[in-house]
Amino acid sequence: MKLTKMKLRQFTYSLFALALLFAGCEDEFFLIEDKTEPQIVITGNVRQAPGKAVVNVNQTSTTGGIPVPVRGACVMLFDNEGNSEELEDEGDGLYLSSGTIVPGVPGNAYHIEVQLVTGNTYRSVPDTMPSYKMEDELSWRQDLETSTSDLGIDIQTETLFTEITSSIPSTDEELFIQWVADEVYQFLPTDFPDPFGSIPPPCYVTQPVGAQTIELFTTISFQGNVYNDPTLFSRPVDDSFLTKHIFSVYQLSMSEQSYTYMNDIKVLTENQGSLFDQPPGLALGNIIPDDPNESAQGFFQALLTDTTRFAVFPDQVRNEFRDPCEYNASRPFGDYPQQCLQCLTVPNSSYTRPSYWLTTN
Amino acid sequence: MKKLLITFVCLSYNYLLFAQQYSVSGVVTDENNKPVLGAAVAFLGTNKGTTTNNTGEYTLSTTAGTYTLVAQFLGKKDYSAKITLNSNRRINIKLETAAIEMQEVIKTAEREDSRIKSIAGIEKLTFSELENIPLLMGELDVVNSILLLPGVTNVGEGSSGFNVRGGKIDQNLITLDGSEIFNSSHLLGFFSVFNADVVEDFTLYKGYIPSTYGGRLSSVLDVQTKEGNMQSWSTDLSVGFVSSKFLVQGPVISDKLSVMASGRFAYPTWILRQTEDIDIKTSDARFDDQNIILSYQLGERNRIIGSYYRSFDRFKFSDDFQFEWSNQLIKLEWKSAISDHLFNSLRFNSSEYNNDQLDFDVNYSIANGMDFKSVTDHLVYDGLTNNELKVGFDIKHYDQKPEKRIPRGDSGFTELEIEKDEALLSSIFIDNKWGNNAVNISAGIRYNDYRQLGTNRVLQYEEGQTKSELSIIDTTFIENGPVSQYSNLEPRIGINYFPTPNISIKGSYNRVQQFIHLISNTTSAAPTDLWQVSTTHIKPQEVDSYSFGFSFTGTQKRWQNSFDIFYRDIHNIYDYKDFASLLLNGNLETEIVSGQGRAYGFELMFEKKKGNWQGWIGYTWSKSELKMDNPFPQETINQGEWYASNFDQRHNLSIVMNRDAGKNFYFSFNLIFNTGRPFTGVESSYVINNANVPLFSERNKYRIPHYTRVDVGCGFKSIFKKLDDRLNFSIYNLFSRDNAFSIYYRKPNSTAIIPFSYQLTVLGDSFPAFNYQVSFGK
Repeated sequence: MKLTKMKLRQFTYSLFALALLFAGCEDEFFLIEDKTEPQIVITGNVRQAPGKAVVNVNQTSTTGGIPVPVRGACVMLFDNEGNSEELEDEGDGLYLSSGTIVPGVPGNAYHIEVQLVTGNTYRSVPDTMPSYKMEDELSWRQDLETSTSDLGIDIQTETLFTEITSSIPSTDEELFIQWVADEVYQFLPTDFPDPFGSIPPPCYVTQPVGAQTIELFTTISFQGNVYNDPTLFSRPVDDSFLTKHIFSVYQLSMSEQSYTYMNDIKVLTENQGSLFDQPPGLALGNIIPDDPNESAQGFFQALLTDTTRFAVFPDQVRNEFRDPCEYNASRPFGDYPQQCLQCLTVPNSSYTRPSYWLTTN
Repeated sequence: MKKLLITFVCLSYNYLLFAQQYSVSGVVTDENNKPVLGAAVAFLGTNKGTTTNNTGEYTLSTTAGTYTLVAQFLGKKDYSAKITLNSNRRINIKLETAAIEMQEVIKTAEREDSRIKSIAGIEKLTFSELENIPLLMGELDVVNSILLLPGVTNVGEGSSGFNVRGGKIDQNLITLDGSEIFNSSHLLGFFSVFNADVVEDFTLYKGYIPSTYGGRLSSVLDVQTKEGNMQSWSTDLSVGFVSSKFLVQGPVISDKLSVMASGRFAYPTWILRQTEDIDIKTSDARFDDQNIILSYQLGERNRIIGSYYRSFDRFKFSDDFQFEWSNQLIKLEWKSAISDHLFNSLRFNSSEYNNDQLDFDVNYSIANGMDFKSVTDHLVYDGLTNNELKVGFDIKHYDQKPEKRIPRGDSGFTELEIEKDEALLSSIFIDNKWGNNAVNISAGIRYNDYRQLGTNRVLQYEEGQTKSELSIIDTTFIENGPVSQYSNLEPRIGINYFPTPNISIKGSYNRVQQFIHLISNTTSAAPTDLWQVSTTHIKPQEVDSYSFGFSFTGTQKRWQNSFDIFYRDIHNIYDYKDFASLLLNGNLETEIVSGQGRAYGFELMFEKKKGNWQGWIGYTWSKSELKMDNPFPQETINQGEWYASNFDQRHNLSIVMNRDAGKNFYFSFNLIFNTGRPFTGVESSYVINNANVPLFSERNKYRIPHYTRVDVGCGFKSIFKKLDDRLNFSIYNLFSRDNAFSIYYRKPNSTAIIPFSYQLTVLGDSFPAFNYQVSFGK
């Protein structure tokens, strides 16, 4: 259906062209009438043991901004064997389970109940953890990716493409798969000379890759035993490749309902929003408010997961890099970027080294 | 007793002698021997009068005596002749074209009470009535013209089709000489496929729909073409800013066989070349269409008409994509007057629509289309006083072309073909018109038998589940007979009661079923929309339409005023599911939901027919709503409550005025106001699996800004004395108002998380246009 969206988008371009031809225009538009009511958004998942259950509780903003975390909620996790556990409030709307009281077991169904301090209660429809997943193999290559700027100029960017080859197990069950990816790299602050020869500790930056591109696959109507996608994720090559990168690809095997929901989310996030795009709408999740007059968003998923990683070293990338933090005696201290002085100012950075940092090659 | 009997017989004989009725019948033709439809024929000074039928025939009956037989028709000189009636007579009447002054007189006489006489919701227009109106790009256009009438709207400039009384665009039956048209737009909607030069007249049935028409819920736009001149050759040329056209007509065999050929060519590409933007500079927009009409007079009572029409559109944007669509129509009609009171019209129509979308990036195109064929017979009997009876049948065959993915060159894609459906719709109808000075009644009934043919498989969906690719559990193959079958009976009635000659009270009721649907997931019609015949899972739409109103005029008949209330109750209307994906989808029922629809409102029309200033003020207040309340949340929209349809516009106002400023010069203006139509807005956002997800409102919760436009026009009806010419100048959207076509969402740049809303204006500036027309040989 890639073409469908492309075509529809292009039809909009044609209208833009006609608009230009006939002295048309486009202007930013603001909703004058504010009819928006905030909605509770509950998302989260439970994964197979020893994974912990994660629940995020947020409230949408009436101003169109980012959602506001909801603290102090009572979040309970249940399975179909009668086990239940109250999740810990970690702050910022994040709630975590212990991972042991209600363990994630393939084939079991899980649901949550969330009670806010206001007394409003929300329950998820039980979601069953699949019993099967696929076997992923990853590889990568470097290539030029062409994109077109707003001014119509073609721009070529050195990009790393991740290719996935995934084997489908022999089973009568249909599989519903999503892949998500993240990367970790070291950020080395400037090593200023000092009498003790101390080296500042590196930061580890963890960030999602292709978060706005939702990669889905289902075995329904698929002929064959192996699924291949040569461009599962792409990542432009930049100066961060000065150090080793580790890419992690998480395979999330999910229920059919969960897959349908993520498919809707895919449309919403990848939609260019034009008049002729695939029409937007409300993704139907499995969070049901007790109050029938209230609407809530989100989905609590039971996921069977698998993780595959690979590393990319600087000498494997054909670009030449410039270290923005390289020490230069003639460079005034104030000219160094703040990140080179304090690497924790890099978004999503931490001094904590991932457990797989040394073992992944 | 015997004397009494003799006296009675004698009196009876005398009575019969005095009351002996004789008839005068004949055919009214123009100077080209072409039948004149709707001409008034009467005995002067009596109340005996009639109008000619669709073969130009008339019949009048009265007692013996001497009378003055008169005939009148818009744009023709009056015919008048003294006749002595002492036997049945046949008198053929030839009406000659009137001079300008005479035209005006007759035009006024013909039209001054047309709104009073017509059944509710019927608008019959000719281009001669509209030629002074300022229109987009200076081009007279059928669709742009009817948009000025109450109850007719569209979603803005650049949108295909039109909406009548809150109906969807596919609920309008659009025909050219009886051939159904599946895409009536040129240049993405700026022009329609109808070339004004060859259009004789067009009728919009938006209220009462006679039972001779069927298959669409909202309206019928019946466009009739002219026939060629039987006696002399003539040529018309028209040169414009964006398009030019020509028309040649004349006799191949004098008074026997005429031909008319016309062509229209649009060339906006030269404007695209003037821009700085390289993408637009390398784009291409064009269309052309051609008509050929042959008319053969076979004796006094038979006429055979053949016509051919083709059109082609291309819109290419840079080296990115290209849309192409084309129409091809063929008509063959045999009109015959079997007797003075019995007339028959047998017609064959063929229509082919092709649509192709090419994506240069992936280097393949997607093609789809529709083949349509029909055989229609209308038998008309007008032998009873003040009565016209029409019976007939329609057999229509709809054949959806397979939807194909066609790779080009080194495209890595394989060819793919999605088989589509076909259907046979057979209808019989009876329609009767009766009237006197106090009341007119049109009533009829239509019976439809619909059979889905073609692909003989029916998908079975899991019970208790919404229809989706995931809930298909089995496929049933139909060995014999139709795949699905529907039949229905459609009563129609329209009544017009005249308490006084200047007042009429009207009412009408229609039931109509629609067996073919335009499946769309967009607000405006797009080339990506697909026609789909009814299937097991996509049932026919059905409407019950009610209309009530009254019309009145003063004794001077300077103004005709009308007030109409309408209500429509629609069953099985379709809307798209959230996230619907239509292309290369063999199971469209999984992408749509069915429910109820209703549209109601009232229309006011104040039409000035006489004086230097002429025109009308039309106002419509209406609501158009849908309700999709199904057992499954995926098939429920807005919690199953009523919501505004995409083309719900509460207020529509149109003021259309033109003034004759002397013999040669005219001035005109339009003022249009429409309430903004609904759209679905982004209200907020949330995050899931690291992805920022825009949170959309309920469907059609918000409205785009109101639409207001003023156009002005002026022109000279003659420039060079020796030529029959005309120069028009108009400015569309005089005040350069940025009317919103749509609100859409787009991330302002690649790093943005939340999409911003933008208002798209297609015509945000005033658009001047000129047009010079000249005729030779007339």
